[in-house]
Amino acid sequence: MNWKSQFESIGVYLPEKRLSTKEIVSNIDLPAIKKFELLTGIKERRVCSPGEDSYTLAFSAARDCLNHSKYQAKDLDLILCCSISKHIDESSYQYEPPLSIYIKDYIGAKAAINFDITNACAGMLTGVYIADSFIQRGAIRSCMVVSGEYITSLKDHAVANSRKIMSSELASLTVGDAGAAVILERVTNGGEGLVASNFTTISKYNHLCIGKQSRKSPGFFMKTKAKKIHQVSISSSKAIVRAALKENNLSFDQIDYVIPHQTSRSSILSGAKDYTVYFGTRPGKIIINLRNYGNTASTTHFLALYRYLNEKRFRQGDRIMLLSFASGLVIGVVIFPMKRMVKQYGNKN
Amino acid sequence: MVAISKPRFNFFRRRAISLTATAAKKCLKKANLDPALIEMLVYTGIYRDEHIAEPAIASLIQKRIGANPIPQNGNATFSFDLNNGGCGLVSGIQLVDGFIRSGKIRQGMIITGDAEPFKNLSNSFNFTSAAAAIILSAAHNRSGFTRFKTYTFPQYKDAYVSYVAWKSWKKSGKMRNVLLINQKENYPDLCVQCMLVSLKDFLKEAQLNLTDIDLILPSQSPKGIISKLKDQINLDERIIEVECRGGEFHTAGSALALLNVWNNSRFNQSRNILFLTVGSGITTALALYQNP
Repeated sequence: MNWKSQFESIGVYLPEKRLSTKEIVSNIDLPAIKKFELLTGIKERRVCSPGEDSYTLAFSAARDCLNHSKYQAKDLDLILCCSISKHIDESSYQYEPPLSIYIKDYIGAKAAINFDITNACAGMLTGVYIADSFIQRGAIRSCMVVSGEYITSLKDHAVANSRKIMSSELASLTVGDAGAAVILERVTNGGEGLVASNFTTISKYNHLCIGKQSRKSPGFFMKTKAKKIHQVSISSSKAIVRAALKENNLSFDQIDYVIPHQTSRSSILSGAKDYTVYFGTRPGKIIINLRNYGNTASTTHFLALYRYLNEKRFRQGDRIMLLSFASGLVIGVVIFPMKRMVKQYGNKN
Repeated sequence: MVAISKPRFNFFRRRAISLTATAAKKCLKKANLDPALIEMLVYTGIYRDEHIAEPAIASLIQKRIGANPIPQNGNATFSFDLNNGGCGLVSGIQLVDGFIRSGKIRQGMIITGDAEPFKNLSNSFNFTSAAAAIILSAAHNRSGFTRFKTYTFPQYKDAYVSYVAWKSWKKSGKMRNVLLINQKENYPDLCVQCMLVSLKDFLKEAQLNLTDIDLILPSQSPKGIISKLKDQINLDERIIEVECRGGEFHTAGSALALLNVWNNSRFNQSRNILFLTVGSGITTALALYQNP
């Protein structure tokens, strides 16, 4: 039996504390940096306070997801934690045990299998791809994919090391902290499921964004060739998106909402323009969710979905495309119809 | 197909990524397989060069072995990392096995490798640099993995914890990112206890007796678990232990045990082969491979 899977509920946790782009760039002595907010579309982002970290973000998102779900933790068969960051405070990072076992223990998902997946900003969508495969072949009925991204510590290294406008660390100034979780379940009524397809790593470009630790400064730093990675992401992904649409017997204009990975407003708009030329048509709407949150790494797609669900912008039957671009270079596409989830988040339409 | 890579001489320090790439290349060569046919690449190691957090280490290996660095002729590779401590290799096998079973891929490779991330910048890092690679493909006979199960014992999650912290380093007195490993004294005993509980349940579900198992390929760390396991299970010859001078093998341990029996044909001559892995959490992951 080949089962289909669907999103059942989404949860998010955002730290209370806000940090504006103006505050960050005021510490950088470059005249052109003053336009950073205009270029990126990021006015502010949430940042962890003392006592908050990757673990608490993931825990709270998982709890919120269960609060919106018909499932209890004990019903979950699989938990995949997909964070890039595993911070236990601003400058400490845990390797073992995996974060997923702490989440499993925290929410009380005693029967669930658990492991951690890391695939840069494509982490949660990679988790969706894996969960969908487990559900399809009948190995499990439900799965929680969860992530807690405490990444704003990257900005400290970037502020100290950005001495020219083409600095490879400027992308680190766009990031924000967030936790997100999603439950996938088996479709039981014969309805339409999600299609996670064409996940591909174009490793020729894996050097374009690297995050690692330095011996001599606290925490991590990230170096990104932002312009180049944007160019190759757009040029390499068009054929992949076309193949995904073909698999779903859809054309690009039949997609109501596209949620790309959230990097910067100018990149998303320029990519959208390229896509419109390539496909000769455009989708209903391209969601940009950067203004108040910035780039929250692996959680961006679910943060945007959660916001739109809570603002009651989706209608039942809307067709959504989640588009992953991540260092690696990872491209992946998830297409799904918005179903009864809109009602769970208060939309009666 | 399975292959491993270890530094030839202990005084030449080799990094996790280059060791893992070497193991992957050796594995492809032994299998006589074009790297372009690897559709999924999963890295399950933990301690890697400079604590690289992104991109996935698997994507770095993908490029080094030439597995579709750009998709061409209808071939593409999807790479990502999986972390499940000392059980990562078996979890990776379970995942790739599932993708093969569902017909989504035909061949996948699980790679793993650990080495000290920064030279001499760790406390209690006792793992020997080593890497391994295993290629899985759809079976044309009746051999293959038939059962997987993972058990967790979160009450023991503090028995082994590893993390990186910004602290004054004892050797220089300067602030550094230091890898710290806190292992409780009774961690090996707890691991064996968890392995035995899991083994009993696994065999019951598989409707097998312990004497039906021809080979046990266990984790090779923490140090001392193999002898403790042998004390508890009367299957001395069937539990494969890999000699390790000085340190201990971490995530590649059970693959090293596999290679041992692969090379002397014991693997093919055995009917029931059990992977019995353990790691922090405490987690155990078991997999049964059956030959007709």
